Amino acid sequence: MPEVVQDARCPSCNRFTGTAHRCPHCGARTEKRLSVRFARWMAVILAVGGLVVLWFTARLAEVPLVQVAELNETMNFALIHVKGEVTADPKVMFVRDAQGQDTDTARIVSFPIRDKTGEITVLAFSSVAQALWKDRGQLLPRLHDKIDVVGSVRIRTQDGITSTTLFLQTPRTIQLDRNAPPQVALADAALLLDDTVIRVTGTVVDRFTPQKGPVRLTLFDGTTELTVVAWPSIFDQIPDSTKLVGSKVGLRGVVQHYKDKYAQVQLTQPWDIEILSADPETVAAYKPNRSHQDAATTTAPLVCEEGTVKAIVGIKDKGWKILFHNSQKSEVIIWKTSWKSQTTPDQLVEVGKDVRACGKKGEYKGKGQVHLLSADGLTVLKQPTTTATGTTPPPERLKEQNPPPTATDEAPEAGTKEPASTPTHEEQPDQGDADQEEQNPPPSQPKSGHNIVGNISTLDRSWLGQEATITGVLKARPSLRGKDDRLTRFVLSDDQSEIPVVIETFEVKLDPRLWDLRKNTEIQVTGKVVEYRQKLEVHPANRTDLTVLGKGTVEDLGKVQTGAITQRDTGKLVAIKGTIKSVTKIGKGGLKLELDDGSGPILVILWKNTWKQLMKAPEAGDTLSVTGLIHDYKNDLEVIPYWPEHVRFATEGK
Amino acid sequence: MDPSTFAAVLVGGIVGTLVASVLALLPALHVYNVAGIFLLIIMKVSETVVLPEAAFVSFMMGLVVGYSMINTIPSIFLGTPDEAALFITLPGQKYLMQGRGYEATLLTGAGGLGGIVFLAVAAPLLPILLPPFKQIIGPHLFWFLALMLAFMVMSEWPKGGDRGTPSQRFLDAWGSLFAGIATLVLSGLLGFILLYKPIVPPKYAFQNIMPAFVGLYAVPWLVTNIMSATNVPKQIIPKTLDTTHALMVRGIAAGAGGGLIAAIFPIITGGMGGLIAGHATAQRDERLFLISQGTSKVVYYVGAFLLLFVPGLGLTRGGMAWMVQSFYTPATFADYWMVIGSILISGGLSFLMLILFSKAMVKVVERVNHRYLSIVTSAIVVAVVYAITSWPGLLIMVVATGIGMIPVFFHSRRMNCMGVLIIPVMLNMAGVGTTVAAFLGLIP
Repeated sequence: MPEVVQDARCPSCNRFTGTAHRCPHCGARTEKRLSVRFARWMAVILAVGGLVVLWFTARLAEVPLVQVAELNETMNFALIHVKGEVTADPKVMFVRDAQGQDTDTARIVSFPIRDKTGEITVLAFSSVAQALWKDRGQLLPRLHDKIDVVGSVRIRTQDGITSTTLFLQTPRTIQLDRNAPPQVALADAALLLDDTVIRVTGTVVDRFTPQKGPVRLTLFDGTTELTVVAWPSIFDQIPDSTKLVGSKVGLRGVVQHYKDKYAQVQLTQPWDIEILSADPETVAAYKPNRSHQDAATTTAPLVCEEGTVKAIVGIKDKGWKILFHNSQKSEVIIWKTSWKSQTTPDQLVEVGKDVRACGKKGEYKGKGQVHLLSADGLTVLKQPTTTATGTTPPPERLKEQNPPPTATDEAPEAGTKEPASTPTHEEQPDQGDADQEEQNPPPSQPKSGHNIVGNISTLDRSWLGQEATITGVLKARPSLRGKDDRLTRFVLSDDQSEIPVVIETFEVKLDPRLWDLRKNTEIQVTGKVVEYRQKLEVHPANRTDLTVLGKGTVEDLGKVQTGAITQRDTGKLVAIKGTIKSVTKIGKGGLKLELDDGSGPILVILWKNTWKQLMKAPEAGDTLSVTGLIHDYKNDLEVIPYWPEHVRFATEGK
Repeated sequence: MDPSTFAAVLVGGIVGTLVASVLALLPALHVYNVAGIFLLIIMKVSETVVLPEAAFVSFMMGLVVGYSMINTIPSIFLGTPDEAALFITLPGQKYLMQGRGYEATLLTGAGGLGGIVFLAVAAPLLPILLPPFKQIIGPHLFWFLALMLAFMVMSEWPKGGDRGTPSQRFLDAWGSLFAGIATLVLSGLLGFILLYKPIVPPKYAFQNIMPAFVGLYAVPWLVTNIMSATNVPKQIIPKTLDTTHALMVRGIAAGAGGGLIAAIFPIITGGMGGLIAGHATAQRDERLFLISQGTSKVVYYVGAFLLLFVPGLGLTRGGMAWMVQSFYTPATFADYWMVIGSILISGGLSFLMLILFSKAMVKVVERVNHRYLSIVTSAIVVAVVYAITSWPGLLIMVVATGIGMIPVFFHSRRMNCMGVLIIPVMLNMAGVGTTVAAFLGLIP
């Protein structure tokens, strides 16, 4: 018989009952035993009373304010409070009906916010998303709004990349300080900086819908015209979009300068444009201001050029350029917006063919151009004398000795105004890449190892092993490829597709600005096309094969004195040298150094992965050379090197 | 697989299994409660030493496999099951009091081993079958959970004596039912507080629910053991198991069904899955019951974690998967098969450990008063909760203990404590979770 403590025995039959209040053997009640009864009701009191206490505690507890940079894996599911600024307009995804059409019920709403330390994406699903969407005038955050939001953190690590998002539990935890955009005249919009959010009013006098790219509206206020661009995904959702032309509208948009020259306003949400009234008078008063390209293509004389095709180059998503082997020959330029044929040039001719191109005469940087307006202007003269590289698809149909087009054929369609953002011969991208090819082998032997392609989507497996030059914008900041820190990965995209560009990390370390490239920076890359995990990649040989085009380039200040760095230098690359005055530990193993070369101190931040790889931990009194980017953190200027190689003690290398 | 990866999987799996085997012996200490501590340690260590991902993954899998097998021992010998092993306890303690605790442990362990084999056999099919299945069940989870809740409440039979006046007998019989419903509602309210306005510091938020589970399940068992400790009779160690091949197959099949339900559907635990499977297959034999519950428990714990690795599925189930995915997300078939290998290694090893530790436990329970063992474990559990979640965690644990004690003292199902997750999640899926939270003043 097991030994049982007395409290657990039946007072009637003395058999084991445990916590039962009625003996399972003899049925006698056992509730008289104080300890069990006491514990039983204690449990109830503890449960109910404790729950009330916990409820009050939770209600009164403040949700902690957390900086984005402080978030780490152990904070998964934490309810936190973030204050920052909305850095992009929200993206809204809708529930689809049985026909696959979007309904008016939002399924997901997402938008990025940035505090002083980093950026986090806020996500709202189902009913919360719909609540934001339904009351979008009040609740839906917009670009540059100040936001105060409470949400639940979700952290996920994949391929060594950690993504952090903030889930909204309710729309009620969003507090917005609206950055009400100013109402500006059309003429003033051009004077504003990029990314300025404005409101404008004007009459839509023209609409241009290209085959690809954004829809362009021409807004006119009686004296000035302004181009408004909207991507089809946005434009197609505008209610009564067909009634826009001829109507006076008010809209909210973001100022942009196409190619840093031509002002335009981008419509970022379909509900940001509102039809105010019909305005036929202004439409009647509008006289189209023909763009320079129009002028070039309508008044310029007709010319023809013959030569052997060296390459057919995409000009981003704007058109094509046919290069001849003889450097003296003019380039043949084809703009998609004025191209009247369904077939693309690479379907009409192939590399190595002798062709004649007839079109309007143009000039760029002193070099002749022929602006081709239709397939009729492109004529194959004879069969190629050598085999083409095989990288260009074979022509579907070759036209032999067609007469050159007449001026009538080439005139722009009546009533069609060329968009402000359409590149002209004056605003084309740098054609230096094409110029490099001028010294290539003679026409009969086109170089098979290197071809130029503009559009990423043109690349296919036939390019494997060959070099290609592509242009696109960065989809995200560069990152290390997987766990392998020897390789750095950029993803370039254009309107149609994307491709990873992989370069050795040490090349990136040689130019830290490459590591700091921002999303949407335009880049031209030349490199070998390889296949990795069944996907194409472009592998440039070194950093000189990456050219940053237009905005996004980080200015290199070179060597400067520590005391000479000012707020205006934020975001620039700098090389400094000085003595460490103090060392403070920050964050998770980071060090904050005060570096001074006698001209004044500057803070240097060394993250753990940087200083741990140095020959020793930096100490006060050490002389240090640092190359890094200047950041402004809580009004303190800091120089942050990304790589250990950019931090040197004075004794190193001697 | 290159030799270094193979070695990492082997070492990680073995170490994880051995660590879990020892920890699982401590009554009421759940692997998910200590896994958080291991993750923090691994984070610290990885700052200075590069730990192979394969070793990390197989270590965590080893913890899960080892725990799901070995926790049978305290469940039967010390009467301290977790929420997935509750149903083993009654037949298991019956075996124990007949001197057959060892046999009960091995029958359950054999079922668990069957569960491992089942997962390995099912592994090639999971990437094919589960993604479309997930698509199908996705929109129906709300009413599935609602049905589960209704089943939990309605399937509880009135308990009580047949003496006294009619009103006394009525109250006696229905007291446990009311206690069950009260447990469900109170734990549901606790769940709302924890999910909508957690008071645990953000830096430990990944263990937000842990103190509640310790309070709901672990502490009440420890308190019960301390209050009604008893010494067990002399135990027999037989050379054969009282079962047949046919019984094994039936038990494993039933348990695998229940375990899969629990692994795939959110919030449903192994115990609940086992309950459904038991009802569905009308199992009555106690041996069959032990085997099927062993299988169900292993398939639930290991299967839920395995779902994280199924390529193309993107399903996170179970506490371990939620913790690990913050640090590592598998993506390839190589990861999947690596973890299957790790499961097989850990499964085989943990069964051997089960035999070894069961024999050792037979000697321990005959000599050591497990009231003292429960007191020591209580101290460990409280220390773990405090170490991870500080004072707010202890407050949650105390309140949860009060709720968890109600079914113990009023003889209702402890499974009702799962209301802590089922009720808020179900109401969220129904789209009214925030309304209820706002009504409770937990969100503005």
